[in-house]
Amino acid sequence: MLLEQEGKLVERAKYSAEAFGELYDCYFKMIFGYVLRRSADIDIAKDITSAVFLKAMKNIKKFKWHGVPFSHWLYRIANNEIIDYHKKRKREINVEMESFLAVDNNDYETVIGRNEVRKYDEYLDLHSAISKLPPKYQEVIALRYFEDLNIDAIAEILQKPEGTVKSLIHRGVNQLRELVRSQELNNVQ
Amino acid sequence: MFNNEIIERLENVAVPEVTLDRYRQHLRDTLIKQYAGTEDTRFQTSLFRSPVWKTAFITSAAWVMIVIAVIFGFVMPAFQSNSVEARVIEKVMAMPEIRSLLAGDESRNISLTDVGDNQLEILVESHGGRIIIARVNIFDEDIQISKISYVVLMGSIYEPEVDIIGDELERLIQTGKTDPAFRNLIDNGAEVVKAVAVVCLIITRDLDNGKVEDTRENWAMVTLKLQDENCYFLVDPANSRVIDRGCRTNTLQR
Repeated sequence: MLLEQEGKLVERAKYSAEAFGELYDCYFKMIFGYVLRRSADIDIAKDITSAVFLKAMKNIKKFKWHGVPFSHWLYRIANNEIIDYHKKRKREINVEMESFLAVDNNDYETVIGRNEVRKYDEYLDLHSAISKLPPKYQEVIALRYFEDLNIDAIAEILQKPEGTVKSLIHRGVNQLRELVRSQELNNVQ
Repeated sequence: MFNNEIIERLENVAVPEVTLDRYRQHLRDTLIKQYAGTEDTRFQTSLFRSPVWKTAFITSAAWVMIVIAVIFGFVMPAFQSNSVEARVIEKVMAMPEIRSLLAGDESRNISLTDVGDNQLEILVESHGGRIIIARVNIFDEDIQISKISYVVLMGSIYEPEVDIIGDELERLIQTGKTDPAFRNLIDNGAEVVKAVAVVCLIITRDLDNGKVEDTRENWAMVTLKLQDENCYFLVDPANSRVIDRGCRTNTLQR
């Protein structure tokens, strides 16, 4: 979708459920995929993705269009929800989203999804090391390498200068290297 | 190990791509429903402040009402057969008797089957495991609920349990595959690890004459295993009903 068209859709979505539905269709896969790659857990990804779109829906009227992709705003909400989920409100968000959606988290689709994630061994090894990093490094590494975003897009999402993003990536990769090395040493022993 | 080795691994690692269509659609529907509930006030606050817009809005609204009246009066009846299923579900779920049988529990799964002779069977399963079957007659535009059954799972016929095997098991699997969840699990490599005969007590009230009957029927509990998850399905072979009882990580049979 062209940026200009997206801007018009976002403006319509402030007053129209149908337009919000169109935005959801455009970005569900991207946000669910991002949260899944950050969490490596289907159930957590479902809870957080639900929370992201619920929050986006509640706050879309406050969103001001500045000519940058709407996805950046959604990534920002996702980052906040991920931090919230892990640090403060894991149980609360889980209960809240289950009652919001009124769904069973043990349906066949979720079971198949859980098994699908288990097939990505190499990614799971890396994720296990990444998850030990502070969230600020997890964010930049996931956005840069898993989502394949460039530095200026990451800077926009995180609302940080490009230089800061570059140094966060550099320091994050340094720390990750040490974590992977010790993880591999442990595996050998 | 150098930084460039780690970067190379990060750049080349295959990352999970999982699609959950049912979840995606369900979240969409829930969000839109909730959004729609707030649309009216947003509309009013933005438009009714200006007197010009207010007049324009009232005129337009009058036209919209006329168009809606025409659509519902003349156009819709010709296409109403498309929405029969939705109306049947709405009517059944609004029945006080159904709500009372659900005892405040949310419905987890609702399926609808055309059983012929202008009759539909709607099967409602709640999160708490309650199973209700409603038989509905459809005469022209009229929807009449004729029977309501409450299914009580009594347990295994035999002590100890006797497994269903051979041709009987094969028939059971074929019936199971009529259910999308069952079929999807089999297609994804799930194995049938257990199939046992179980007795169900079916308490049925005929709404035409008020009579209540109870019958005992032999159904089957089929356990499908995919990795370390067990998924349970209650199958009624005589009437080709399949009830998805959910999945668990533990190996205990319900």
